[in-house]
Amino acid sequence: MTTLWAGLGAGAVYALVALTFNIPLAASGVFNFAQPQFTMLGGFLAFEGLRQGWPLLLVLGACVVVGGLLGVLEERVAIRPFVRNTTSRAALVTTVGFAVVLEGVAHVIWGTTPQAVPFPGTDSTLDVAGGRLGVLDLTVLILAVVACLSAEIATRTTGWGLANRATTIDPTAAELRGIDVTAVRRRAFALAGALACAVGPLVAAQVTASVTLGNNLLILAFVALCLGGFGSHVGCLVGGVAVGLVQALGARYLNGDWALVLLFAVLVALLLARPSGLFGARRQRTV
Amino acid sequence: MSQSTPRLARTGAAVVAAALTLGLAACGSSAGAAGGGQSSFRILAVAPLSGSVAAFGAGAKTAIDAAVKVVNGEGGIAGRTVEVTYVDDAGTPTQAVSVLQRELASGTTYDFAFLGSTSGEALAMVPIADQHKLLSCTQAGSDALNDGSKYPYFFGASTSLVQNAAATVDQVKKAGYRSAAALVDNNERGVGTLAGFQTALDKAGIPLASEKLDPTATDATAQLAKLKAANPDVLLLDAYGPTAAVMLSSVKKLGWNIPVVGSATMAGNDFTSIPPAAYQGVVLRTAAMNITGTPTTASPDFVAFQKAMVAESGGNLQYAAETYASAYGCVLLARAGATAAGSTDPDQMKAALTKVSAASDVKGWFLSSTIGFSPTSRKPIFSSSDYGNASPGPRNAMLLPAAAAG
Repeated sequence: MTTLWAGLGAGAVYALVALTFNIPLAASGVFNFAQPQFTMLGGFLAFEGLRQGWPLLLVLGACVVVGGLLGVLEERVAIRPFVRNTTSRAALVTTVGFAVVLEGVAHVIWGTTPQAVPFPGTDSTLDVAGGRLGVLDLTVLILAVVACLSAEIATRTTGWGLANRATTIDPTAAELRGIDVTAVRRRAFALAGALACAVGPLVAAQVTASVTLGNNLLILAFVALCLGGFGSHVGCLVGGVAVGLVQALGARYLNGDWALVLLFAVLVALLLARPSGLFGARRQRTV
Repeated sequence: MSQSTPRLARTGAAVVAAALTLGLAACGSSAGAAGGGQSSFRILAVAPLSGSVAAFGAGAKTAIDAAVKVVNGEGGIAGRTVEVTYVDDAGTPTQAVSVLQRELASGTTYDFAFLGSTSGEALAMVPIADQHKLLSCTQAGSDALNDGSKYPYFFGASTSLVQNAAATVDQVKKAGYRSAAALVDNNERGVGTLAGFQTALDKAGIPLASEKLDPTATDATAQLAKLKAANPDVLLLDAYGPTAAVMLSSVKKLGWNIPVVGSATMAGNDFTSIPPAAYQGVVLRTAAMNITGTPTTASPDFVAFQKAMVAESGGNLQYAAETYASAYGCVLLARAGATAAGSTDPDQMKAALTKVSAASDVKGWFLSSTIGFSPTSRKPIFSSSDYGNASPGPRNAMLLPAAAAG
């Protein structure tokens, strides 16, 4: 059972990062490669804030503000100039550039040495259903469930969600119907940036804050997004948890080298059966 | 006509192309030089002065500069002032090969070369240096270089993974454990260390259960749960960087109350970056030069090294003594070769270094009690007496506190 809990805990991290990929993707059609670097940055901000003796809430608030502002900045300098040309994928490449810049800045400021983030609950565990579950894992798990479900409900039931969907499907038509497409996209990048940065302290408390943290999360969070389906926030949760569980159970019951092979085998099999992922929408348009 | 490819799906496909772009994006190098006159003993130092392992390169530069000051203060090498030309390879083997070939074709004659801080760089450069009959040394610990028949002009100053693993197993035997489990990083270093554990434990008749942890892992509970099921007496951990914290934290998370011995690699971590609760009770088996109060660190040669390092760095010494000493030792070996040969001719220096056996053959040497170079063996011999037990914690002037049990 401890292995299951560990898989759920790791999966929740992938789910949250996948969600931060998905929010701007669902609102603008742009895949933001830089998103995990916001998480890395949040880890370092927590390291600095807690070292200065800041209260935890202030640290998390600072992460939300910094992440949100960086998201707005990224949208302004790395996305907006390129998305007007709908046939261009330049915005995808510029998000890679933004990721490299964030990583480079972190490298210059904090170097390559990992830093401990003494987040409350790091060392505490609970006995749950016959297994041991870290308090931090439980926190991340609850956060992932709440965040993914909230995003899904908001997408389906609010005007914000409707505007996001309209912008993604046809930005020109959305604009003609009075939707401020630029504002929709900016809000999405700000929200994703704030969430990714705020998740940083929780992740860094488990694995330390390091410049490689973002890149370490990138692949498996992307796999979680593929499994769950591009555009589906609930899919991020299911995909993330699936990745975490396959990884943990593979490591527990197979040779460790086979855990990743198993994971990618599951991904390939699923994408062959359902190319849009578990919850990704397939649209048919008659022209 | 119907269209079933939504915009998001097209974006997803384009992600793959951008990922490939990322891999090609970051290439660049910079070179710094401190050249000198015709009669200088010229050392070419190719090191990662930028990139992801730049901190190691900076450490190597500090150590080489410190050693050069010491050696020049003692009359230089064969009466010639030592000067070093630094070239940045950004820590990548391809750039390392490129800049080395450029330097070798530049018309400047080098007497000795320091070739990189990582195994990847060193393994790429040493064969090229050998083809040019350029004596070389490296900070990297790869055992693949320890082959005089393959790399006759190479002489190392660092510990080897096999020797470090054997030292960890010595501790297992000394403590009377009858079975062991090991969790290592799933990379070249970790796999090499695991092979060393396996060989040494096989010799001792101690069964080993082992698992490898991906360097990007955020949790090691599943791997440790599998090892726990084997019911070992002791757990050996080998990790560097974020995975060290992941392994140690996961042992606590699992609630596994087992003696933990960290390898020399584990001892190289900065323990200020790991929550103290995670490493409580852990014993680190590492080279004696990394531990406070050992005969090695009390020796005059080590004290001279420590003093030179503090002066050169301004006291900003991030790593264990061994990390710097392996670069410092390269300069000492260059001097020893020239002194023994009475010449700076590479073939004569090579022949002289091949015969270096005792630590006293190399002036200033403190790293190991024996050197034992031979036509085939090109790394110093670190025997059991060259290791000790340390406690994890903050370092003081490159040294970890000694473990309570010694």
